[in-house]
This record gives sequence, structure tokens and C-alpha cells, in this order.
Amino acid sequence: MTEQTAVAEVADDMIVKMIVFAIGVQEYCIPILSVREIRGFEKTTTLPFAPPYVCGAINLRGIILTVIDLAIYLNVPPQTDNPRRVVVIVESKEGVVCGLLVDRVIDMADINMNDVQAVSEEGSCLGGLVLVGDRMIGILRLETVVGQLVGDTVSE
Amino acid sequence: MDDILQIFFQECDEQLQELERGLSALSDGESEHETVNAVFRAVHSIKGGAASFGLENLVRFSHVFENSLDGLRSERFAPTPEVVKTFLKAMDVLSDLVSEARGGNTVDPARVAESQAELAAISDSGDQSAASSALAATEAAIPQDFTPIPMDFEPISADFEPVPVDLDFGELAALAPAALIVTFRPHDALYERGDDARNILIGLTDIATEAGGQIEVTCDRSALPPLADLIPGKSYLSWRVVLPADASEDSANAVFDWVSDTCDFTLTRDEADDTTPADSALEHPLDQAEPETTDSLTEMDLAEPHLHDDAVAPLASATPLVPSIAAAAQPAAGGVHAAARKPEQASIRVDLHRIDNLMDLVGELVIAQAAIESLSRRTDASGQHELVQSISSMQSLTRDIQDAVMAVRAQPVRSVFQRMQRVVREASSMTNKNIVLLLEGEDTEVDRTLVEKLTDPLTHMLRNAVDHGIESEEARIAAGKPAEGHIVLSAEHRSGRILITIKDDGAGINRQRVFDTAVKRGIIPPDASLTDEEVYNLIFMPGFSTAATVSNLSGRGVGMDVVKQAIQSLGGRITISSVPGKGTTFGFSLPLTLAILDGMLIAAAGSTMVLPISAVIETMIVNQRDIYALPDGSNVVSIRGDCMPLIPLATALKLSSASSPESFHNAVILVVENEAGARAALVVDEIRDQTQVVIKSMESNYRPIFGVSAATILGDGSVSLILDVSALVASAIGQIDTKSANIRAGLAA
Repeated sequence: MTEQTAVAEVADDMIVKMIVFAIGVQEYCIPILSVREIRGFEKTTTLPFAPPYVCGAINLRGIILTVIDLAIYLNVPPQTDNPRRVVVIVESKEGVVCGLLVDRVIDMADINMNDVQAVSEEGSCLGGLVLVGDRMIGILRLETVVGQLVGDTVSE
Repeated sequence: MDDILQIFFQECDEQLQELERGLSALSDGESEHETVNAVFRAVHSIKGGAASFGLENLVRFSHVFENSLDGLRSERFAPTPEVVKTFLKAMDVLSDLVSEARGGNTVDPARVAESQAELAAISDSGDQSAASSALAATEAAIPQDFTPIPMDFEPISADFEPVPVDLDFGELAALAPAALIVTFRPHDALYERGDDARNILIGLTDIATEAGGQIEVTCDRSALPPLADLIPGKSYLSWRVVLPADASEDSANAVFDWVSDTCDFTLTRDEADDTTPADSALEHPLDQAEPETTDSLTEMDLAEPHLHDDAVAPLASATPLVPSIAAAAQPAAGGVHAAARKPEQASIRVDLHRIDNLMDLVGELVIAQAAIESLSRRTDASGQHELVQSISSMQSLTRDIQDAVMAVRAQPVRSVFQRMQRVVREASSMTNKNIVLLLEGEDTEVDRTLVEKLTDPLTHMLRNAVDHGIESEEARIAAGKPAEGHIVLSAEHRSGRILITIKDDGAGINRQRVFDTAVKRGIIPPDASLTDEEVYNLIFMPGFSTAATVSNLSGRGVGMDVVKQAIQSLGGRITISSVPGKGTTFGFSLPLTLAILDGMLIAAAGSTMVLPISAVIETMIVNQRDIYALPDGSNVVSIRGDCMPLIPLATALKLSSASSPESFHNAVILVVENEAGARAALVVDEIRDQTQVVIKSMESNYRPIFGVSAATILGDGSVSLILDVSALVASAIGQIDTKSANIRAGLAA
């Protein structure tokens, strides 16, 4: 989620409701409106030629979707034996549905987009950082992550 | 209204098919009366339906068409090839006009006029023999003046027909604007509520003013008792209001919105001549009355007599008629546009017995389910046994239901095939070739989605056959062939698939030219040694075109590779065979449905995968001594003397590291075949089951994967991949297909 699009979504005020989850020790968030549901992590079907961060495919009530292990994607050691790992099912603006495997979901937060500090250039998966209390939360750019999953310009 | 319009368009499609069938029969020399009648009926029904919806372009053209056909019906002229050709052309225009009315592309008026002129010329040629010379001269002069004007009703031929005069005029009268007649009788309650009939009348007047006319109101006082018996506050009067034809029913209904429970009212569209005020002594015109309305009514009444004069003064009568028709058509035309904006609702017609069959099966399913439920409550051993039995009978029931549902979705390929007649007709007239398309097996049924998706590839293929396949007339005669080219388009069921073949009697594929072009385009190296089949397959490579000049039809090098992609995406295969000088045959082998697949469940690298059973030739346990290692690390296996590459599935899909030849000992292998007939042996861990699977696309939520065509969901809810056998085989064989396979592999990596 880029700042610009987030701004467009909340034209009247700059507050966006985000869902906050943890990968390793770092906390990240994505807009709650893009989240379809959260479900437990179950066995996935391995996909051939998939990038390492793609766990595999699961069946969500007849729709087949892929699950991304965000830990591997973000170069954090995955906590394979963590029972609190859950899959956040998200839907991108283009209508692509995929699952994000996160270490634990923490809470929701109202984030003022004006407080977001940009950290990196366009195209990176991290849209910016924001301080909530004393926690530094990264804002995940969903379009980048999902775009890499579907698109053909994949950097492994 | 929209619903009815949709039904009308569906019927139009059917009538157009009927027309196509009849005209094809006529062009084949069949001139039975019943065929001619069927053709006439088809056009007539379209005209009738179009008239009731006010689709004037359609009405006008079909009227001319019908008149010409009537000449054929009354045997004033014979269905010579030229005549049938004109009719076929007119049919194309008619079907375009139908799609125009549906909200499609606008038809070029010049084309309509041209076809009308041709039709008129036909009926004239028939008429002239019958008519007296003086009159005939007058008539002959008129169409030339008139045909360029699309507003013409072509009265000439009608004048000379003894029978259909009444019929035609009857329908023309139906076209004249029908006044909207509102009658209402307030209940006592209406007045008790403080409302007044006057408010209704004012509302109706407003509608009339909006529609650019005036209302004519008559009051029915027949129920009014003598003054002595009159009870104040009781309603005795009713009114009859004639609104201009432009007024819409909806707005009139809206006037009665608030009084619908306290007032009886009716809305009818009626013929203008029904409403002559003088008819009834009880009717007393009210003050808003009618001088102008009556005038327009009289004019409408007169419109009909005018028509009878048509032959004498066609111009004079056509002029007053046209605006009134246009006015009548306007509201309906507005409706059409509204309908066009909505997404088209797809619907199919299904034989009743198929639905009944499905219903019976569902009934049985309900019984079976009840049986299982009661059996499951029993705990003894025999109950357990019966339970297993009923579950297996339910299984066969499920399969029957699945077949029945598929039968409901099945459609004959006729609709697509008949569209191809037109493609060939247009393409051959563009290339100045004389080509006949023969259809075979149009009744072969396939899944609806497949029928729709066949149109584009078949159009490409047929255009190609006309443009490149069939030689020019001179070349044909020089080769000792009949000047007329033949293309046969046929469909048949073959072992659970549908086989569509396009066979032409042209010159065949020029192997050398294809080879040279492929070398020139850099598709193959100049020293490549290829079999005939492989050379022919080159024409499906992207950017390949041997046509020396780019024609309107083909030659841009797009088309054939698009065809191949389209057919492959439908799970189909293409075969080519060609005999120089004799012709080329293309075969499409397609699955009957896109939704369900008979698959073999296999295990590789710990996950269960599905292989389409149609691709599996045989399964066996391989012996170590039949395996030969090649220097590049791959292996071949010899099965009864045939050598084929050995593909360890897990390794090919990069799910495990390369395995040594020794590990293949006693391994389970499946011999699979791709569309070109090339075989390979897949090494799998085990064969688990054979089952039907529902195909689920992966590409909506993920990118295409090499070697995987789709996915499915197994009984335990887990996802299983459906393997793309042809891609796997092709990559192993390093055939021509490797190129595209590599691209795909590149995408996946």
C-alpha cells in the first residue's frame, strides 16, 4: 500500500485502520480493508519452480491460492514450530487473492498516514515506517508483494 | 419489456440458423416447397417480431427480403445459384441488422441498400414477365429512385402479389402509432380521502404535453342515477382518456401510483380507429378536448388507405407514414439501448427430457441420502456392510448426475459451424475464389463454453484455408481439378473427445516453402532435418507466414499461432496432414468439457498430482536393463523396442534433486503421449487412484507454472496439481515445442 493510494482511500482524514502482525521481532501492518480473513496454517501443496518464499497452494472454499511465507520473503528466519503462525488471506486491488504466513497477529491500529516516514524507493515491499506508542511498525506494500507473485518479473 | 426483447433476439438467432440451413439446402439444389416455406417463415417471423418492438431498420429490410422470398415461394422465379447467393448475402445483412438492434455495431446503410436493391431486382425479374409492359416500366423506374433511400417500403412487389397484400398491410398498420388508452373508475374511497378524479386527469394531461400531444377525455355517465336517487359522496363516473402514442405506459402508471387501491384503471395500446369519438353517444368530450387530436387520428386512419395507393404514388404515401412510424419506434428504440447497456444474460435452451432426467436422478439422490442416514444409525456389522454398498451406489449416482448436468450444458456445434458458412462466403468473395463449405456432424454436442471458444480458432482456420489452402481458379483448372474449391468442416466424437477436422482440396502445404520461410525467419537452423509433420507444425510458430503478399484475410503472421494457443488452452491438440496437390487436413482434438477431467492420481516427491488419463498410454514397472543413460545425464527407456526419454517427474518439476539411473529400478512408469504423438515415460513414486477431478484455474491467483496446466481439490480438501503432459513431453524430447516450453520455463523460473 503506497502512501498515495492510502491517502486517496481516506480523503476526509488521514487515519487508516491497519492490522498489525509480527514477523520475527519486527512488526508490520497492512490496511485492514484488504484482509479477507485469517486462518490457521495448514499443509500446503508444494508448487514446482516456485520462489523459496512461496509455501505452496491451499484450497480456500474452492478457490486455489498461494501462501507466501513472509518470514522468508523478508529474510527473517522462519519460526516453523510456532503454533501461533497464521495465514492472513488478502486480496489486492487487482483482485488477486493470496495468503500471507505471519508469525502472529498482534492487534489493529489506527495509523495516521501523515506520521508515516518513507524509508525506501518505489518498488520496495516496505512502504514506510510509523511509530505507534514506542513500537516501530513497518507498512507493507501489498501490491509489490502480490505483484511479484503473479507477475513475470520475479527476482529470486 | 427487456426480457421479452431478449427472447425475441434468441428467437432471431434460431430463425437465422433456420434461414441459413434452408438457404444452404437450396444452394445444394434442393428446391422442395417445404424448404422454401421454412426460409420464408424464418424471415417472416423476424419481421413480425421486429415490428412489435418497433425495430424499424430490421422490419424494413426483412420486409423487402420477405417479398423477394415470396416470389420464390409462388414460383415466379427459380432458386438459381445467383438468386440463392443474393439471398445469402441478404441473410448476412439481416443478421447484422439483428445484432445492430441488439446494441452491436451499426450496419453500413450502403450495404443494406445494396442488398435491398439486389433483392428488389430479383423480384422484379420475376414480376416483369407477369406484368403488363407499361406498368412494368413504371415499376422498374421506381426502385432505382428509391433504393438509396433507406426509408423506402418497397411497395412495388407487394402490388403484384396476389396473396400477401393483406398480410403485409396488416402489419404495416400495426406499425402505425397506437394510442395509449387509459380507462379509470374511482371508488368511493378515493373521494373519501379528499382526492379527486380531476388530479388524475391533470396528471394525464401533463404526460400528454410532455409527449408533445394532447389528451382526449370522455366521461362515462351511464351509471349516473337520476338526481333524486343520487347519493352524494358516491362515485358514479368513469373516464376514458386517449393519450398520444408517444406517451409511455410507465408514466401513465405513475399517475395512478397513489390511487391504485381506490381506483380501477386499465392501460391499453389500441388501434387509432377504435377510438373514433363519434362511435358512442355516451362519450362527451371534455374541455381539454380534441380538435388537434382528432385531426391526427384522422390522419392515422388515412394512413392505411394511402398505402393502398402506393403503387400509384409511392412517394406521397411513404412520406406521411415514415414520421409516424419513427415516432412509434422511438420509445421502443430507447428500450433497446437500455437493454444493450446491460450485460447480456446468457441462457440456453435445453430439451425437456434432459431436465426430467436430471430431476429423476436428484430424486434418487435424495432417497440414497436418506438410506445412508438410516444405515449410519445402525451399529451392527451387516449395517456397516450395507452402508458401504449404498455409498458406492451413491457414487455411481453422482456420476450419473454429473453426466446429466453435462448433457444440459451440451450444445450442438451447429451454431458455430453455420457461422463459418458466412466466414467462407466472405473470404472467398474477397479472394475471388469459388468455394463451397460442406458441414458434417453439426449435431455433435460439446460443452457450451467450448462451443463459444471454438469460433475464433475456426474462423482463422477457415480464412486460412480459403486464402492459402485453396488455389486460384486458374491454378485449379490447370491442375485438372474442378474450378470450385471444397472445404469440409466436420465434427465427431472420438473416444471421449471431440474431433473437428477442416479439410480442403487445395494444393497442400508446400513443404519446401514452409521450410525455407522458417529458416529465413530464424525459427529453425538451415541444416535442421525435420519430418513432414514437424515441418507442417512450423506454420503454428509465432511470426510465421508464407504468404508472399499480405492480404486482407491473412498473411500478417498472426493467426496460426493464435489458433494453436487457443486450442491448447482448451486442452486440445492440433494435427496436420497434407498431400501435395490433394489438399490439407487440420484436426482439432478437444476435450468434451472444460470443467471436469478424468485423471490418474499419482504421487511424486511426496505430493499427489493428477495426470489427464487421456494422455496416459500404459503403466508399467520398469526393468533396470531397459534403461540407458545418455551422456548428458538424461536417460532413455526401451519399451518393446521403442525408445523414449525417461522423465523422473519429481526432478523435472524441480521438486527433488536429480536421481541416479540405478534408482529407476522397479520404478513405476507411465507412458504418456503428447498431441503430436511423441511419447515419454514418466517416473512416479506410485499410482494412487483413478478419479474425476474438477479443474480449477491457478492463473487467476498465481502465474503459469511450467509442466502444470491447472489444479484441483481432492476429497480431503487439499490442492493437487494437474500436470501438463504435452509440455513435459515436449521439453524432454527437445522437439520444436521446446522453444515455447523454454519461454514458459523461463517465466516459471
